[in-house]
Amino acid sequence: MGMSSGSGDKKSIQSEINVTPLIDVLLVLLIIFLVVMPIMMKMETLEIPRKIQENEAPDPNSIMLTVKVKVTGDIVFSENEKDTPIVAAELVRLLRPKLEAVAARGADRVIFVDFEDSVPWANVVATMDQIRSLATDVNHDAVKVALKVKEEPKPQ
Amino acid sequence: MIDVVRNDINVTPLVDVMLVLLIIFMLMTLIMGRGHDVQLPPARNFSQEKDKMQPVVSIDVEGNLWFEKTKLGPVTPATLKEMQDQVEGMWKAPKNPDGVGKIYLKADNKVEYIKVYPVLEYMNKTMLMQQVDLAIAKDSDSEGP
Repeated sequence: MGMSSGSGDKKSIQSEINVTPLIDVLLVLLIIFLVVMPIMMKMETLEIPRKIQENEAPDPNSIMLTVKVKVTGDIVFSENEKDTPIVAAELVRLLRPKLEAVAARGADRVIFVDFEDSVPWANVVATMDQIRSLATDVNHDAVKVALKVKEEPKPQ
Repeated sequence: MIDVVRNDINVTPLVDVMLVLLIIFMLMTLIMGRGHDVQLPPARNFSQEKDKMQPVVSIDVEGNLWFEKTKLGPVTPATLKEMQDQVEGMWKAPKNPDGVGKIYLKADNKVEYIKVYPVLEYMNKTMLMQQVDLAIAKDSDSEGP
């Protein structure tokens, strides 16, 4: 009795710090951070624009830039429906000035893509990836890749 | 009062083991991907977003359509309709409102474009979507472009 604590106690003095509550708190914090930590999903966004209605005028400033990839890996680039066959390795170099021209006119930087039926999905994404490499922002979303939706076979 | 016998069970090791198990299970759910497991195409210039709990639609190497972990079968008007119903049901009762109107599409590396195109076209023309997020795998630098 007497002094509640002191160096004069008969019992052996515990000189280590009790770390159990510390560890408890740290574990709980770890769990909280694990739960809060979001699952990151990696993606490349493909625009699927709706067809322009007949009563809508297309944006006069926009230039239709289309990249068509064949099964052989050859690429046909077309600007306002004028086709030019190009080598796959040239794609990025060719597109860069075209996109700058589009941006200078104040239109959205959009590249339409079209693929032959048997092109494997890996090549589809690889082509999109090449086009998106032209976007310099962190998420590579400044240059949009849009799917060229095929026309219905029936008239109109 | 000296040397009292402690007769309660020491629960500290039990709690430790439980906590470690909890952490292991949480990590496992983090690592496990959403949707059907397919081999995703490699890419470099991707964007990264946290999971908005949007519906995950997958297309496997044989061209089968999957909604989350359910196989719907080959891409036909019927399975596309089924996919639309499931997706729209998920949008109506969203786990995260940011995921409404979005779809995360996982298509296999080797599947042909003709098997994926009808799905994209259906999302565009029937579901009136403006964009779709394509799943990719982070490209390791050893592989060429």
